[in-house]
Amino acid sequence: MDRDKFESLLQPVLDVAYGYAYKLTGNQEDAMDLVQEASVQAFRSIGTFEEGTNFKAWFMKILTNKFYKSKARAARTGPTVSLEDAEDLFLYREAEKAGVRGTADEVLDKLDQESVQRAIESLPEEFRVVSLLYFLNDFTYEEIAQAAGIPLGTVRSRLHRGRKLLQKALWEMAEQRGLVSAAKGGVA
Amino acid sequence: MSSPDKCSCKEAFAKLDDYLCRELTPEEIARLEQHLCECINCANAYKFEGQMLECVKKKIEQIALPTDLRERVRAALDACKE
Ligand SMILES: [Zn+2]
Repeated sequence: MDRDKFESLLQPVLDVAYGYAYKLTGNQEDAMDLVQEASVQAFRSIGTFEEGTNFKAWFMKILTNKFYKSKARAARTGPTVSLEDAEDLFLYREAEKAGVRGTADEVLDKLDQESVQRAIESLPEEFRVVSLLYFLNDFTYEEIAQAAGIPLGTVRSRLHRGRKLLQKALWEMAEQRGLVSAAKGGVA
Repeated sequence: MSSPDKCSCKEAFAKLDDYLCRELTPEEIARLEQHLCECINCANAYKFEGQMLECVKKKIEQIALPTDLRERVRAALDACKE
C-alpha cells in the first residue's frame, strides 16, 4: 500500500484516535506522542493489514499496544474508583432511593462534561480501555476485542463490570458536587 | 410471565448488556422487546441504562485535535522511509 492510500485511511481516524489517546494518557503532550508513534508503527507494518477489513480497529490496536508500553502509562496515577459494591443497575437504584425516578438524564444532565470525563478516568485501566473503545467508536464486541487484544468473552465481562463501576463513579461525582444527596433522599 | 416460550425477567436482565451493545440476533431482540412491552420494571431499567449510556457518549464526545497534530504525523511519516 502506498503512502497516499495509507493516509487516506489514517486521516479520518486521527480525531477519534487522539480522543482515545488523550483519555488513556490524561494529557495532550503524551496523547500527541502516542498518536504519532502509532501512526509511524502502523505505516511500517501496513503489510499486515488486510485491505477491506476494519482499519480503525486495526489502528486502535496498535495505539493501545503503544500505550501499554509507554512511559505515560507508568507515570499515570490518579484516583481510581473502588471495585467493591458495584451492583447491577447501580445508578438506577441509587437514583430511585434519592427519589429520582425513571430518567437517567435527570441525574446525568446535572453533571458537566468534566465530571463525566473524570468518572471515566477513574476506572481501572482494563475497564477504561474497553469502555473508551465502546463509547468513542461505537465498536462491536468483536472490534473491541481486536483493538484491545483480548478475547470476546473478556470484552463482554469487562464492559459489563466497567458499566457498573462507571455508574458508581458517576454517582460519587454527583454526590461530591452536591447534585444529589442520598442522606436527605432527594435531588439537590 | 413464566410460560416457557416467553422471555422472563431474569432472561431479560441477563441480556441487558448485549441488547444495549446491539449484539443480539433479530429473533432475540423481538423476544426481548415483547417482554419489555409487558413488563414495566424491566422496561424502566432498560430505558434508564440506555439513557445513561447515551448521556455518557454525548458527554465524552471528541476533544478537538490539536492543530499541529496532522502536520506532526505527516512529518513523522515523511521521516520514516521503510
Ligand atoms: Zn421483566
